[in-house]
Amino acid sequence: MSTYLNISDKIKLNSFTPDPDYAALTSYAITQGYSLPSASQQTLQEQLVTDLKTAGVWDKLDVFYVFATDGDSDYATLNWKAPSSHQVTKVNSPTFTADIGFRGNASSSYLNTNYTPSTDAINYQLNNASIFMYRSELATAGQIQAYEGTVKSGEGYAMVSGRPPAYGENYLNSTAGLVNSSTNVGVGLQLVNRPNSSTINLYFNGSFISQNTSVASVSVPSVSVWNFAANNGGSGTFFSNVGHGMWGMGADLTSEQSDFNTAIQNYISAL
Amino acid sequence: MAQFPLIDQASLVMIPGAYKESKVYSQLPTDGSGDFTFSRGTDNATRVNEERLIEKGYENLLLQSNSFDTVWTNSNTTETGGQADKDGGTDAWLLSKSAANGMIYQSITSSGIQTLSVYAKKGTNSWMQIYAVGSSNVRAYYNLGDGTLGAYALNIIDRNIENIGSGWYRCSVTFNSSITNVRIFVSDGSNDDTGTSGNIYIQDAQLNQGLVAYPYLETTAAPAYGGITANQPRLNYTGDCPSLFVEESRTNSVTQSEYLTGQKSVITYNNQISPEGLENALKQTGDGSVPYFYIDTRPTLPSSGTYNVSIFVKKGTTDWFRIRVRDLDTFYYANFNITSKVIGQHNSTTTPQIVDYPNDWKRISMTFETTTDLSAQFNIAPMDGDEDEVFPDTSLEYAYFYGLQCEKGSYPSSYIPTYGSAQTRAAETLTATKTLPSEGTLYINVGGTTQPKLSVLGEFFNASATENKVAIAYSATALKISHNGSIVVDKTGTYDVSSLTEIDLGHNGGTDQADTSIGEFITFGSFLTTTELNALTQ
Repeated sequence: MSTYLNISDKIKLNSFTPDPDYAALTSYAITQGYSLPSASQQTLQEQLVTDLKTAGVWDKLDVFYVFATDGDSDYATLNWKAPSSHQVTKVNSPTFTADIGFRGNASSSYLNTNYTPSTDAINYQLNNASIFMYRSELATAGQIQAYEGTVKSGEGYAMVSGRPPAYGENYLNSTAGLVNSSTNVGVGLQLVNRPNSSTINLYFNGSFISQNTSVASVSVPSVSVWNFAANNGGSGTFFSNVGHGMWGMGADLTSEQSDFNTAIQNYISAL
Repeated sequence: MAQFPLIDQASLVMIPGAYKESKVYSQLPTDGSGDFTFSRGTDNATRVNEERLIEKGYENLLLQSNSFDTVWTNSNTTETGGQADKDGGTDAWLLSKSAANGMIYQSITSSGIQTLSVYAKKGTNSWMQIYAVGSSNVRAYYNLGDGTLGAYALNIIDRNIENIGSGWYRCSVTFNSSITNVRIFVSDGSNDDTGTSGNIYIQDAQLNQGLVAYPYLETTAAPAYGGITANQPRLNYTGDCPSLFVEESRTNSVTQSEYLTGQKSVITYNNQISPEGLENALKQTGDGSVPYFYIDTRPTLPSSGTYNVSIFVKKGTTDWFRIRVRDLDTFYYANFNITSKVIGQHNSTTTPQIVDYPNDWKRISMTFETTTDLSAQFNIAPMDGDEDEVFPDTSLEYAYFYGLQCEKGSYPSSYIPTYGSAQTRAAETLTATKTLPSEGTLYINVGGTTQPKLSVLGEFFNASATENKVAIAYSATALKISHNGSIVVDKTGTYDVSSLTEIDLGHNGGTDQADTSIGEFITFGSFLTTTELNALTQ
């Protein structure tokens, strides 16, 4: 970035080169006729991409969705990692609120990421995987477990929940889960990692919550990943009215989780 | 010169033109309250001057440069001042020897590429020797009788005797040595100092860095500096109107930017008028041993990152040149046709450029990345065509070169000369303390940028690669921006425009310096209309 004019740090004229990945995102959105975020939010979003790259996270992701935007609800469905791939499909009209994100209706609405780990994964691997969400609204209706992701019988699940320990667990390529804590069920960034064949760990808003070192990996899911419900081979289950500001999947982010959390929180807090 | 509509309504006008050390003057207000303070701590910066030539800083490192009885020590000589000089005055000196090897000398420590010069005229003797004692003893003889060079010279890069009239000559010798002492002999012939008597006239001795003698600077008790000196603002004349450089700090990692060496070639230094307007560009000719030849330099880079390499080239026999960076993490290259200004084949990430300079010189450049391997090898080769560096007979092929630079950054900054070690040009700032109203208009012309976007208060718009005239009308509730004749932002909102007391031009509090030079800057005490804004930026 170059500065040509700075008046008391209040009025500045700068030149800059947009991040190429963010530029690709906005360019694609324009070609689709979607409404872009405000200029100030585009600056925030570009900074988020830059921060994720600096943190070493960006290259580890397969899909990354930012639903919390003042762009339109179609713009919110784009996969930032590859805008023309794995765009979210809004099924049965989940509610969209600017700067908050999408929310389920606890009965039929959901987001289909159209990302199927068994066929689409690049970084998401059987023993090296992550799934995360920024939970912007808590589930207050629907199935009490409020699971989301995949839950196809006969294979590993990629499934997370923000519900209390009595109901909520997290699965990653496994059929056994890591139980939630009471400290990770509020609004915030929930990150579930699988760093190896036997371990799943859980972070919330940058803090380590727990891990289970006896959760064997089984297989990578062969159905697409859903939000607000779990995909059971094409039919939905565990519908809830949880709301998300972000969602993503990729490689294990255990080492990067602190900087990752900082980047996400910086964006959310600036909205 | 550009026209400035509405200038009678302006409250501050700074059209680059008048400056002195650490100061750039504004035309309005006239009481000096709108003048800008400039800083740059180093004197190795250059600019393109009014004649469109590169202008450097230079120096005279000798003390008492025309007082040969002070600081200078004699050995079997006497020095008599008040002699008729080269300029019609009486500032010359008669140097007379009373024994063989009679000479005067001055102790001085200096290294790298240097040129030692002195004006001289024959007396009873017609010969003079200039001698520098150092890691390599430098010697050169001059015939002041007929203005020719003596047959004998030792450890020199070049030497010259220039007839300036009235029997006076400027005699110079260029060398690469770490010296401790310079000497002027009353000689008797080429490599002959055996005579026991005789005299010559001398005047205005100088030792400066570089391949040629720069304009003489008088010294007394301290070295003197001329051209672009520390904290001197740099007016850049590459465009239609002068503009100000406010550049970030850059280091030229090439330790010899002008004394370049090559492979499979014969190099003749000081063979061609350079972009400086001086005869200090080199000619490289293929030696005929292989069907190619090239400039070859191998600097060590200070750290990983994005670098830009640039060099001034001039056509000899070929239109095409290639810059190639080898031995790094990745192999980079770009081909340039400097006649048609066509960029040929190149790596997609190298962003090659060709920029015009006078006398058919071009500055060609490209970027490259390095992560772990910091030992770069730069080859700049004349080419027979795009991707064709093989010549039928290289001994017939030649090209001219000057000013190789490798700097960390994504674009080439102004030229930083080096004479034996890497050189860093310090960051520049240009700031005025001036209270602006909470509702008003700012106008600035910032030339072209390679970056695609411009931003103001969270709004952004497309930048131009050639010229960016921007007028910003602001208030606490509205923002309207005109860019190159059109409104590109028209917003209402809440803007903090209180306490606007400091104006930084070309930087952000000492960082993020501009990638292009700064043209005129004008402020108005009112929120101008759309028509007025567009009139400013057309």
